[in-house]
Amino acid sequence: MRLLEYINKNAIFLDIEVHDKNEAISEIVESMAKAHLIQNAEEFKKEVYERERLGSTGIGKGIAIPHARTRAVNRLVIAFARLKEGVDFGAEDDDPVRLIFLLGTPVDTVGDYLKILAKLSRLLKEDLLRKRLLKAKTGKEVLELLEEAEGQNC
Amino acid sequence: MSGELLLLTAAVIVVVSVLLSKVSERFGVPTLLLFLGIGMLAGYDGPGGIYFDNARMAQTLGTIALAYILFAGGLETDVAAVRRVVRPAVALATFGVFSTALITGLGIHYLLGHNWMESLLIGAIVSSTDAAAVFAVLRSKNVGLKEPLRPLLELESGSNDPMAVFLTIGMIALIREPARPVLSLVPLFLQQLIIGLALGYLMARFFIRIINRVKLDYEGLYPVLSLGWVLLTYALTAWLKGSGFLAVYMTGLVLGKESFSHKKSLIRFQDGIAWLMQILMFLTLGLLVFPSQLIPVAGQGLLVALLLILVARPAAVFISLLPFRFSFREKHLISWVGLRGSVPIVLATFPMLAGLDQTHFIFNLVFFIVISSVLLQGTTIPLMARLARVDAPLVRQRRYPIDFDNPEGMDLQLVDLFVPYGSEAAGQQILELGFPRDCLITLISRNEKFIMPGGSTVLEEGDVLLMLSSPENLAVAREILEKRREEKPPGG
Repeated sequence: MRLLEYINKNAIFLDIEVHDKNEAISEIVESMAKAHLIQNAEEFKKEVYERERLGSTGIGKGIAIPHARTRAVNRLVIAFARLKEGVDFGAEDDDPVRLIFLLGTPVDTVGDYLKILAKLSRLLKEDLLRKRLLKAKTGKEVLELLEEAEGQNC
Repeated sequence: MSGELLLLTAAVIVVVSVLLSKVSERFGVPTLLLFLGIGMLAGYDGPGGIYFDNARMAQTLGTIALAYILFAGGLETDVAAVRRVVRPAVALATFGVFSTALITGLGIHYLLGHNWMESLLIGAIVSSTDAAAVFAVLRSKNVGLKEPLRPLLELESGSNDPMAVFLTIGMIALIREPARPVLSLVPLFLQQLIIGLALGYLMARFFIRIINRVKLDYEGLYPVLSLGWVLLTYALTAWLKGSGFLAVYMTGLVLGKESFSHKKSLIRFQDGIAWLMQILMFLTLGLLVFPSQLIPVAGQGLLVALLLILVARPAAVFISLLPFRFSFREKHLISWVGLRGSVPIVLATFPMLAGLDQTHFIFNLVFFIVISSVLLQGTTIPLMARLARVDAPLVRQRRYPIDFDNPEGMDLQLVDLFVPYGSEAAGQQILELGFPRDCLITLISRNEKFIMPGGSTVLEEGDVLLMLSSPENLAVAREILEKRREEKPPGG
């Protein structure tokens, strides 16, 4: 299971300007809808907020992995966003979040997406990868970084 | 044929049919057509050489099979998705079916020169789309459609058979009693509709009560109860002169929406039953037809099939959907998913049993139309969807790593939680963490593997935990997981 199968190059949004967590999620979801990656932006947003309500997906070190099972997608999709200014995601370490991976998965699939969540959280533990993601200039570079990190990790 | 040999043949046919479904998936031939083909091969004209021309038995079997298929179809229907398409689906299932029958009948009369009554009878027989065929094709792995096309098409096909049954019975009545006024059929129709819907709903409610109250001693008896219930619903409704098919579909829909104990296992079981019924039905219908008798009707059959596919169905769809907002492309695709299936073949046995003339001709003609429709439309739906640009990325069906049914009277949820970076919980055994009693880590996802946690399992940063817990305990669990290893100095 490769990350690159699920991250679309049209779903990489660099240096978006938002002021808080909800706006960040909203922006990314809207952009995904514009790229035709999801079908029902409103529904998906609600589901992501609902999951955040159960517990923040800010896992520390400036990373958040919000996600939801939803009928708005037909397959697992991942969007990546880098925020211009970090926002508070409610993570315990208080580091503002600048790197966000947003996942949507169909309601009837669970296995793949638990694996992808774990894979992302594991890869992003590496300081080097996070630093490089913060500096990447293009979407293509982001994809290459992730691919490389994934290759080393296997 | 001796008893053992008969059993052996039947068993081999069923097993081979199931295994061959794998092949049909690969080549995009609808599975049901394959079953039909096997039936024809096993039949009198094929190498199997089994002689079977018992129309009554085929009809009974077809009816029972269809009841189970419709029930399972209703059960698996996503009611939330369906709700938005109820009105267009009802328009298609009533007015759409009526127009299809009428236009096809007209065509047969003018093109083939059959008499009016007979032409309209054939039109009525082939007027409904087939739930078994549509479910099978749309739920196969090759087809992805944009919302809300799939729920619309499934709901239409699940609910339009009663109309076709009604039109067929009505036409037979008119042929047998030429003096009968056409309008006398209207109350009959309403009666079928209302009794069918009402009983279907009531039987579903009743079933939920029973299954939630009665504690059966053996787990295995619950599916048996559902098995009997479907037949009970059908038979009771039919006996009270309602539409049994509509009733079982309705029961399935209501049960699919509600939660009750043993629901998951029941859905699985009924899914299996629906498959078995499809195999049985199509095999039987394959046996019933004599391919050698199909050849003489091939020319006419093809003509009527084309008329149905290219004129009657599109016209009916476009007219029925006028009040609704669908794009031309969407209507085009809806027209194309007008698969005919077992219902027309089962209905084609009605005139036989009613003792009308020309019934073998009608049966063979209908059979040919159905095969043409399934072959032509069933195999090209993915292509058409792409051409009309209403296809959607495919859903990849995967198994759940674990299954979750919300137990009665317990407010539990299954949530995935991260072990955050720098969490104090990382590096500790689950046992040491002091999770609340009713808070269970059911699964750990780590390194592309799932780990079954035990008390001595050590958590790592970045683990994803699938947690079963009540809302209150979830907050406690989160606190434990989110606690930082070293406290930062204040303000740092």
